[in-house]
Amino acid sequence: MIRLLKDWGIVFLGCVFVLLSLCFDLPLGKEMAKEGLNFLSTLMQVVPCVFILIGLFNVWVKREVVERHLGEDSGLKGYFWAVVLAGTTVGGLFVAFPIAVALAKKGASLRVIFAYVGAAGVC
Amino acid sequence: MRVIQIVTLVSIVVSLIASREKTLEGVKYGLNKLLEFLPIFLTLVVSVSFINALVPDEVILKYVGGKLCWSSVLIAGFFGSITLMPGFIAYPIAGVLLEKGVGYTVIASFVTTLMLVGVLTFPMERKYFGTKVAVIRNIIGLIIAGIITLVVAIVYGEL
Repeated sequence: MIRLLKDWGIVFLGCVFVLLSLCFDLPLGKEMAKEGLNFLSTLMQVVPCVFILIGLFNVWVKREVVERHLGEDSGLKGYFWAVVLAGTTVGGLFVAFPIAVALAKKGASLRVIFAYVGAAGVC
Repeated sequence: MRVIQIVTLVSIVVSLIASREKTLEGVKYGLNKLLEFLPIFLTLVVSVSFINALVPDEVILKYVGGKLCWSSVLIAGFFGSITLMPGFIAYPIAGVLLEKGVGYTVIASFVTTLMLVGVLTFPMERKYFGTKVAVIRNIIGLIIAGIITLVVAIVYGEL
């Protein structure tokens, strides 16, 4: 119950606020609903795709491949591949975070992960 | 944005041809992860839209528009640091600001912190990376944003 409240509390409050605003005709809540739906539709066009790709990546790419190219011993080439990969990541850090975690789990080094996240952030 | 949908579709088809079972397993894994992070994404949407609605564009322009001074660069950096936005959202905002007469240095400060530093998104980041890494990443992001802003100020002769 507490977990549920912690996870969904702000979302719940936001929805209640928007509903009340619609009932009582408050401009702030209406503006918020507009902004929120806009943002949500942008996210929903990208985020599910990313998670499906991560799932497929998880099933198909072997740990050794990631370790060889992005692991501790990958040297400068690791950074190169990280930046190339970041260049193909559409959607900024929202998309880059889950991918970075997937890479880390497959054995990429933390330095390379940082390079990847940093480069993905500014693409 | 279309690109990623096409890439996903092609990947699923290729994966299906290679192995039905593995594809199902992978898609299931991905959707499970999505569900796991859904509350965080929705919390982010609610917080960001609340702040966006609370602070109208005109107010932002009033404080960071006009002649360059370091306080407006700092204010732009402060607003940029509130949340994370991907490039495809940040660059159009930068375009609007530029059209309205905001200087390059201020825009650089805003856009770089917008993409690299996020306070509201910190809980999400912490869930992915853990507290220590998330803090370090945000601090490094802030330093990089400062360097980029300085370079832009020099290149555009606004210093």
